[in-house]
This record gives sequence, C-alpha cells and structure tokens, in this order.
Amino acid sequence: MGGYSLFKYFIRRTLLTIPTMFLCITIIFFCLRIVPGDPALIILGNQATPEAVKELHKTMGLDAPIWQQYLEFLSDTIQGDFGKSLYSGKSVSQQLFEGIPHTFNLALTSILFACVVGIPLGIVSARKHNTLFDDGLRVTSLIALAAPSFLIGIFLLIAFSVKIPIFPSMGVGEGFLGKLYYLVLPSITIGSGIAAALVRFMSSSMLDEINKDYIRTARAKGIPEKFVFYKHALRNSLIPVVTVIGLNITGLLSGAVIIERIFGRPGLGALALEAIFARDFPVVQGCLILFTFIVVIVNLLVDLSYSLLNPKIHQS
Amino acid sequence: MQAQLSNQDPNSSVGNDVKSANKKTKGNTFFDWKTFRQNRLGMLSLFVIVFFVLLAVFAHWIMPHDPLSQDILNKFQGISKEHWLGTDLNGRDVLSRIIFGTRISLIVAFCTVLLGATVGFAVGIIAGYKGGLVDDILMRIMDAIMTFPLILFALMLLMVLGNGVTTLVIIISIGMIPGCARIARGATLDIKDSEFVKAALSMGSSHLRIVLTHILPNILASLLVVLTMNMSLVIMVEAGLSFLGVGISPPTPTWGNMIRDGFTYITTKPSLALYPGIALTILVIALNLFGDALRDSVDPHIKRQKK
Amino acid sequence: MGALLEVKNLRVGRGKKEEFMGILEDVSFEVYEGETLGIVGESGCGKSMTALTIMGLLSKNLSVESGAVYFNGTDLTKLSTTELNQIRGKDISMIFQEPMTSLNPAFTIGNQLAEVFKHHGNYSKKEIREKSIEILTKVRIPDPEEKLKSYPHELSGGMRQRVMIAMALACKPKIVIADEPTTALDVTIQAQILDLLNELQSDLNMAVMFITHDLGVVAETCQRMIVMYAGQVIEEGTVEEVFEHPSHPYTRGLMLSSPRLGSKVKRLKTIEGVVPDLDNMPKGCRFAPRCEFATDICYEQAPLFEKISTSRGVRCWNKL
Repeated sequence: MGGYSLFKYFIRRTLLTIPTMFLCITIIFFCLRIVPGDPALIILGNQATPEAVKELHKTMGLDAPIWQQYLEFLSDTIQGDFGKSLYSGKSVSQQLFEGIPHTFNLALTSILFACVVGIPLGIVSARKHNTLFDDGLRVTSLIALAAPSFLIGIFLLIAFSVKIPIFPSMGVGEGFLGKLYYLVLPSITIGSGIAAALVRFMSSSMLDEINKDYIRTARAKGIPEKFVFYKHALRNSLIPVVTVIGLNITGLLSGAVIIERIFGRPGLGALALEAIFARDFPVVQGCLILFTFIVVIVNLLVDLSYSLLNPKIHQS
Repeated sequence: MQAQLSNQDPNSSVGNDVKSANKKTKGNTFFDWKTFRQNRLGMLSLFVIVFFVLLAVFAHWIMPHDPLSQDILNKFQGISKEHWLGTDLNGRDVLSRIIFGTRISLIVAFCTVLLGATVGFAVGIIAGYKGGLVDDILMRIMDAIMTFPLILFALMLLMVLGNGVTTLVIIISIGMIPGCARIARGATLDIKDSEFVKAALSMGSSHLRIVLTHILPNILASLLVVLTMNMSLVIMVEAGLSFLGVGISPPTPTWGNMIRDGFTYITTKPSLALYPGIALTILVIALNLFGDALRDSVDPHIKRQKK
Repeated sequence: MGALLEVKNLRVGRGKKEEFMGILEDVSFEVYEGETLGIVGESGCGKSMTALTIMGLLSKNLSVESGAVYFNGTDLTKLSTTELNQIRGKDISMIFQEPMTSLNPAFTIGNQLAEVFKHHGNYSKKEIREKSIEILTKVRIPDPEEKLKSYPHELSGGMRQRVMIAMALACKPKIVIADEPTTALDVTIQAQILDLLNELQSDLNMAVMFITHDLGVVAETCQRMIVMYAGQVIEEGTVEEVFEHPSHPYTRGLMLSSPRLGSKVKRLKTIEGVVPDLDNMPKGCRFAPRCEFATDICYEQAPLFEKISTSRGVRCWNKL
C-alpha cells in the first residue's frame, strides 16, 4: 500500500542516477580530450622533445584510438581506479580520499550553521510577520543571499582575522576543538548564504501553511495553538527546507574551491585547483568525477527525503 | 437551488458596483510598473544599476587617472586628494581601476547572459514545444550540465583553452543554459496547451509562427527576470575565476583581478581587496534585488519553474 | 427551555475604530438542544462568517466589534484561545466545506483523529485507538482499522468528509456546525452524507447548525431555519412556516426561484440586481434596491428584526 509504492519509487529514482552519472562522466572524458592541442604538449610545455611527448603519450594512454581510451576509462572509473598523479605519482584515489574529510567537515559545519541560524530565524520571522523585526530580517537575508560567498569570506577574513585577530586565517587545526576553531570563519562564509535562503523559505513556507484549510480544521478541533503551529504547520513547512539545503550543496562544492583557497584549507577544492594549475590531468579528472558523483548522490537523497516527508509524491 | 440573479437593471445603484469591481481585476499586463514602483528596494537597486552602467559607459571621461599607468614610487598610498581610494601595489590609481573594471564586468556579463539565455531559451522552447523524445533527451543533457560545479568546469576548460575573453564568455554561458532552458520550457508548456494556441493551429498557423507570435511574447517577462538574475551570477563567477587566476589576465583591471592582487597583501593593506570587493558586492546585490522586484511585478500568469 | 447557544446582536467586520466596516450586522438567533437549524443565504451573505465567529476561527483581519455568543452561560467571543480550545472540538465542533483541503496531508487519518481524543481527555493509547475505530465505524467507513493508517490523499472526497464528521463527533459535542458539508461532493454522495448526519444526530442527540444555500436540503433536514442576506438575519421561523408563507420579500424571491416538483410555474422568477458591495452598503434596508415592494421608508431607515411570534421573526418594513 503506502509502503510498497514508496519502495518502488526509491528504486526507480535510484536507478535513474545511473544514466545521469554515465552521461556526466562521458562529458568529462570528452571535454578533457577534445581540447585543442596535445595534452601532453600542454603539460610538458612547448620546449618538450618529441621523445618526451611520445613517452608521455604512452603513459597517459593517448596513443590508443579514442574509443579504446573511452572504454578503458569507463572500466577504470567503475572500479575506482583514477590513475596516478602526473606530478606526485601518488594514486589519484588516494589523494581524493585524503581530501574528502576536510571538505566534508567544512560542508557539514556550514550546513549546521545554516540550519541552526536559518531555521529558527525563519520560524520567528513567520511568527512575527509584518513587524519591524521581520522586515529587518528580510532585508538582511536578501543581502546575505545576494552577496557572493567569496566576498563574504574576504570580508570576514579582513574583519575577524586581520583587523581584529580572533580567528586564524589559514590552516585546518589539530584536535576536535582546534579543527572547529579553524572552521568557524569558513563555515560562516558558506553557511550565511544558505542560512539566508533558509530564513526566506521557512518564513514564506510557514506563512503559507498558517492559512491552509487544515490548520483551520486543527484549530476547530480545539488543539492548542502551540501544537497547531509546531506540529501541523511546521511539518509541512519543512518540506522545502530539505530541498533548499540540497540545492545549495552543489553551490557549496563550487564555493569550496574558492573558500578553501581563501582560508588556506586543504581539501577537494584545493586539490582540484592545484591540479588544474599544474595541468595534472588524472587528478583533475578524478576530482571532477568525484564532484559530480557527490552532486548526483545528494540530489538523489534530497528527492528521496522529500518524498518521505510528502507522501503524495510516490503515489504518482 | 440558488436564487437566480440578474443585473439587467441599469438604474440600480448596485449595477455601478459591478462595473467598478470589473475594473479592479488586473488585465494581462506584461509588466506591472505600479507594483514595481512600490517596491522601494527594487527602485533603489534600479538606481544603483543605472549608476554603474553610467560609470561604465562614461568611464573614459570619469576616470581621474589612467588605470594602467604605473607609478611604483607611489605604491600602497592611502586615501588622498590625488588618489581618492589610494594606489595599488604598482602605484596605479585604485578608483580608476574600479571604474574601468565596471565596464569590463558589465560587458562580459551582458554578452555571456545574452548568449546563454538565447541558446537556453531556444533549447527550452524546442523541448517544451516538441515534447516527447526530443524533450527527454534535451532535458537529460540539461540535467547533466547542471550537475557540474560550474566554477570547476570553467576552471578546467579555461586552463586548457587559454584565458581569452571569448573563451570565458562561451564557457560561462554554457553554465547558464540549463537554468534558462528550464524556465523557457516551463513557460512554453504552460502556453502550449492554451486555447489560443489551439485556435491558431486549427487555422493553419505554422509552428514557427506560433512560437514567434504566441509563445515568445508571453515568456518575455520571465526572460527579463532571468537575464537580470543571471547577470549577477555571471559577474560573480567571472570575478571568482579572475580571483583564482584564470579569468581575464592582468594588467586589464577587473574586480576579480584586483581582489586577487589585493589578497596577497591582505594582512598589510586589506583595502586593496576591500574596495573592489565592496563595488562588486553592491552591484551584485543590486542586480539580485532588482531581479526579485522584477519577478514580483511580472504577470502572475508566468509560472516559475522550480526543480 | 433555554437555548443551548445564543447569538446576540453580533457585529463583525474588519478594521478598527473609525475605519471599522461591519460585515455581519445585528445577527441574532438561538440554537436549541437536539434540533437542526438551517442557515440559508447566497454566497457571501455571511453564513460562514457567523459560524467562524462562533468557533473563534475568524481570520486575523476580522474582529467582533460588539455582540456576544452565549454558550453555557459564557460569552465565547470574550474567551482566550486556551479557554476556547476547551470547548472547540469537544462541546461545539465544525465540519467544513472542502474535504479535499481540510485534512493535513502529512499525517495519517488515525493521527488526526487521535488528536481530538488526546486534547480533550485522558485516554490511553489503546482507548484512543478503540474509540477511533468506533467512530469511524459509526460514520460508515469500511475497514476502519486499515483506514487509520491511510493518508488523506488516499481517500475519496466522500470518505474524507466522513472522516471530518468523525473528527467532529468524536467527543460527542452538543452542537455541530456543518458549513456546506456536501456542496463539494457528488449528488449521490451528498444524499449519503445527509442521511448519515441525520442518523448520527438523533443517535447522539446533538444540535446541528446546517449552513447551506440549497433550499432542498433545508426542507429535508431542518426543523427551523434562518435566512441571511448581506450580513444580516432577515427572516426566522420553522421550515414549514418559512417555506409556506415567506414573509421577507427576499425569502419570497428565494422560494419562488427554486423549482418545485409539481409546481405549475413555467418560468423561474429571478431577483433583480446583485448583493451590495461592502463599501456601498445602502443606507436603509440592505435589500431595498432590489425589492419590488420597497417603499420610501425602506430607503431611509434600516428595519429592525422583529419577532412576530415565538418562532417567527422578520426584518422588514413591509412584511408580506
């Protein structure tokens, strides 16, 4: 009944990610190879000897026909073998693996910050609709939403690390508290945009809900106002929140590249950036594939959780 | 059975009420200027945008100094009568550079958005209008493009293709296409099934004609909103890319470039990064607020396509 | 016998003090134990607003300017939300018009039904479940145990309305306000729901305030009725009295404009004109502009509601 069709929807939606991933990694493959010019030449520079170029061709597998390269690429990727870095010789998957925790921590704390600040403020904004507080909050969140995150990062850096040296400007830190300390400014940077979006969504969501017919029914049943607000209205309001967070995660990854650079943090973003400057193709490729994978998975989770919260979706 | 009513009595005072009530209903207005005017934030942002545009257009006449002329002896100067915002690491006048940077940012943003929106809207209209397999394939491709973190993708391509402005424009516009396509597709789907399109078809209108005369005018409104919102996005992306070093190359001043230069000296002279940063923030916020206000006053018939 | 519910000179509208615009004016009527009172009028005449006022469910921009609603000796309009919540759902409950949107889509039927019991008594989980199944059976929902786990969108409109009725009747209220409960449903379902309401009413000895614009339904189900127009009560009486001998010209127009089986009228009479706008309320009698019997005084002075007999009342200078 209710449970079974939900299950079917889960399966169907999960399977849909496969063609999407497939399409994405194909695009990545061809983009990196169809670029004009010889990649080996780009890496080695114009002064390279023909032998060195040929050698690099062999190492990179560029001497085989493109279709063969593609198939090898596919089989490698599925097995998780992204090759070796052209510069450090280290396994790409190894480097990715090392970078993940840092970026993950950043993402997690950013989202936590956004939720802790954004959701309550959004609810309060709805409760205090049309008061001065609400208006001020709306304008502030509009501005926070519009301001580019890397600029927020730079401003925060200047304000709280240079002018008023409270927080460190570079690095990751040691130990749990230490790491948290170093995460404060970067998380606020990334989190404020998401928080602002959350405030707006929670607020408008709650306001929409309060006017719904079933809220009137709940009141007619003699249910205390507290329950009406926090059970009936809130529950339905939370639905777009999950989507908002999910949608913003893609932006988070893009932002991670710049933010990790600004705050001197290691992580996937920093790794990708370094590799791009060094023309370290295997690493760049690995990073891109990983990034798209993360985005696809996150989108999947968002859709699934949305359908859990909103029983109507999986019925269609 | 409901009591039958008729308003055949023109002398009745209540008849006039019906007439006035009918006048109050909003017609099919393309753009509700009145509502927009009431949105103070929107009006404010419009003025800010116009200000920046004027700055860009009249840059050559307004700039106090040549943005490229170096004066090493006078580097890192603070605010002075000579240099209103001081000088940078090469002794160049910061204010002039910011003004000139406005022009670059706006031109790049405008071209990119125009290109991206045109292609995006075309794709969206085709997908929405044709439907079926064409729609599915196109939307799948759009999904795939959307999955890529734009900046990373742009970084990679810029690395291999070189730093040219044209490359920059093309790459960023590709990132814009899925969003525009979605909106255009949504609007097309809304209109495709409407009565007047069916009527036009039955009268033998060619598909192209229908698209041009019926669909385009109706999505023009959402097009405008998309353009403004995306302008701010593109300016941000371009600045971000320049900041990372793959945007427009120095010594041409773009805000992103300037922030990048300033970032190296952030501990000693933070204002170098701060001033262009503030300019950028103000313009981007203004564009976003303007787009919001625009969206609010556009004909409510246009539905916004959410994911 | 004293009235269960007494609405007295209710004046409800929007705005404050000088800018106050009355929508409901001088609305008064009584509801007695066990009876079915019909409230009739066209859309916008204020019948729903009256019901919402009684329940304290007016939207934020509306308020009670004067008048009272007496229930059990207390004026409901003066109660705080917490006090009102003791009465709502328990002593007085309401069934709404739109079953499709009146149930929260995020919670199961069982959950929403259990809420009523939870907040109006100290029942154990087991008791709540038993009572829920009992009331669902009473409203003739098949497979009640399974239905407890269903979500509203899994049920048809008729089913949802039965659930609404179940929730309203769960605590055996003294009064049930039914606001056009069948308007949004199929004609066949309509009949079923009406039957059900009838049955339950006599079973539980509740009073029912039946709000509708359908005179046929009133004729079938109600003993007494009031007619509303433009925010006022303009006629009151037993159903027989009002149907056979309508006193107010508007009521007369209503009766003449509904087709009756066996009547020989060839063309239905219509009432000319439209209901006046809130901003353009006529000075005298609100119906005068459309009334074929209007005289000078009708345009000058608003008539008061007059009791002709114990059961009858009219608001008209020229009672027919």
